[in-house]
Amino acid sequence: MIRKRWLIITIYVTTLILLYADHNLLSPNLTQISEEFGMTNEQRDVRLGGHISLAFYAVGVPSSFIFGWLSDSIQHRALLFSVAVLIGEIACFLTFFVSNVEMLLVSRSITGIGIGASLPIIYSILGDLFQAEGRNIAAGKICITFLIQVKELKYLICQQFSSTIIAIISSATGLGLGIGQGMAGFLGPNFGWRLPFLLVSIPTFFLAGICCFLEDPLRGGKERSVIAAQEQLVDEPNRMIHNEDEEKGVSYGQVDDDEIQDQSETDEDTCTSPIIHNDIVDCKTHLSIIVEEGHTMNELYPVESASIKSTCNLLLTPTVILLLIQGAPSVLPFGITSTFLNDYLAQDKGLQVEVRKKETFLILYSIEAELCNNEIF
Amino acid sequence: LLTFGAGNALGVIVGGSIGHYLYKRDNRLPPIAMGISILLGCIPMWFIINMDYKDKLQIVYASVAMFFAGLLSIVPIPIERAILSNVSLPEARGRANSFLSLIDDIGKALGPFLLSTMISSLGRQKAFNCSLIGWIIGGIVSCLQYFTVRKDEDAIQKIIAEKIEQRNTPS
Repeated sequence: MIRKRWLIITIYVTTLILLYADHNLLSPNLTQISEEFGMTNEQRDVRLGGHISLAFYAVGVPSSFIFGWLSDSIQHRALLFSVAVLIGEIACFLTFFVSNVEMLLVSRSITGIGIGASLPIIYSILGDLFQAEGRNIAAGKICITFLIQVKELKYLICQQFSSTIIAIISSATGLGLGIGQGMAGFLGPNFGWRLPFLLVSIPTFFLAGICCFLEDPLRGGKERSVIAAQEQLVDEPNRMIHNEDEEKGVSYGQVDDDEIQDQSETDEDTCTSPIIHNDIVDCKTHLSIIVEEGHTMNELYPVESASIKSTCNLLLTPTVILLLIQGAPSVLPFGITSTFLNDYLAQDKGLQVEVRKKETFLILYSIEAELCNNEIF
Repeated sequence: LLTFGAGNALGVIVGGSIGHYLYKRDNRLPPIAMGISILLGCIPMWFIINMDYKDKLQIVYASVAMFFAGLLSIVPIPIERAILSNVSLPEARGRANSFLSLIDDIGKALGPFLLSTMISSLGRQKAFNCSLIGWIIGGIVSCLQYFTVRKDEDAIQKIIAEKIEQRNTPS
């Protein structure tokens, strides 16, 4: 099981880049495909440009919701992500072998599942990988530093850059689109339009397999309230360590004896693990399990299954409502940049794109257009 | 257009950093940053749409405007996802993000369609100018989250704390 957070993020980002790379593999070679399938220019625009794109989203949009729901219900989200990626990439792989436009339509619409499903799962996982705010470990509970030691710096860095990592995840989708479009644009004329589908899908199979072995972060494990409860849990046995050390003549400062006694009694009442009261080594081991693996967190924070009631509660949250409302009118200006601006500047304003630079332009433009149109709002 | 892309690339990182910095100061500030960014994005976009591009200097100005339009319009990406995660329960985040993706995808299909309808009645330039109202509304709605986000975050933390308390209270 892969547990290092930077490695988990790297694998997810790389998978997302490759997954989104297959989104635009068709568009640079529409004419070549239409010639192979004996289509007219009108059929090319309507069937390849219109119907396939529509089918892609018609399947992708509901799959986004279904997999979003599943990611709230299933314990192992990394596995769910792998399944979604595999469904999409098997279809992408099979696109290499299609012999007519109907098969192409089916394979592309199934590819939409992988792309539609991936983002809700990724953001759900991210929410549990990082805290809402950069937690200052030094100002937190010093008592857990003996468990973290060298890892403390990495831990702190990861926490502090949580928002930036969300930004990187967002960029990965745009980068993937650019890479896919560029690959199809450069390889299509020389090696045929089918090859890019193989080149994108095969490494993604490999990554989807690795994703099965990524540790699923504990749900709610990075919430303020859960961490506070966790630290309380860690703090109490730590004071037991001090108590036992004091008995051995090791001084850590003034601790009220009555308070320790009260605390010991409390620990006996509430603590479910008898090893805490045995010896320091066992106690440290127990705490490291709490802090590093979070096994006891399952007992600490009960996770509810996804239900209609909890979905209604979510949709009744004022900030969620505002975030969703904010998106509706904002799509209009993004329609300019994603669809019309290029043609508007060329036709209405007289700015022409040089032919030799067109492919480079398309790669970069697809990145920004997709960032605008696909991600925001 | 390439400078618009460059602005986007930088804007995502800037948005993440600003969101993180402001959140540490006050968790109500990121929505304000998001709103202001969207509203300010209208200005360079207006110049891009309405410039006549007659001389080279204007193309330079347009490139600068493109860069800032790209930067400002993309800043909300990391912030909105972070806000959404913060105001939803850990077990509801998949659904929350799927709703946002749903709006994205519907918008992706509907945005150009609505614009094309506006273009057919108003012409391109007027339609594009009118569509900027969408960003103005979006920016205002974003700023309104200032009044709700802290309450919603606290409510989520309260629910989590209550769940923990219930789980760990001896029956």
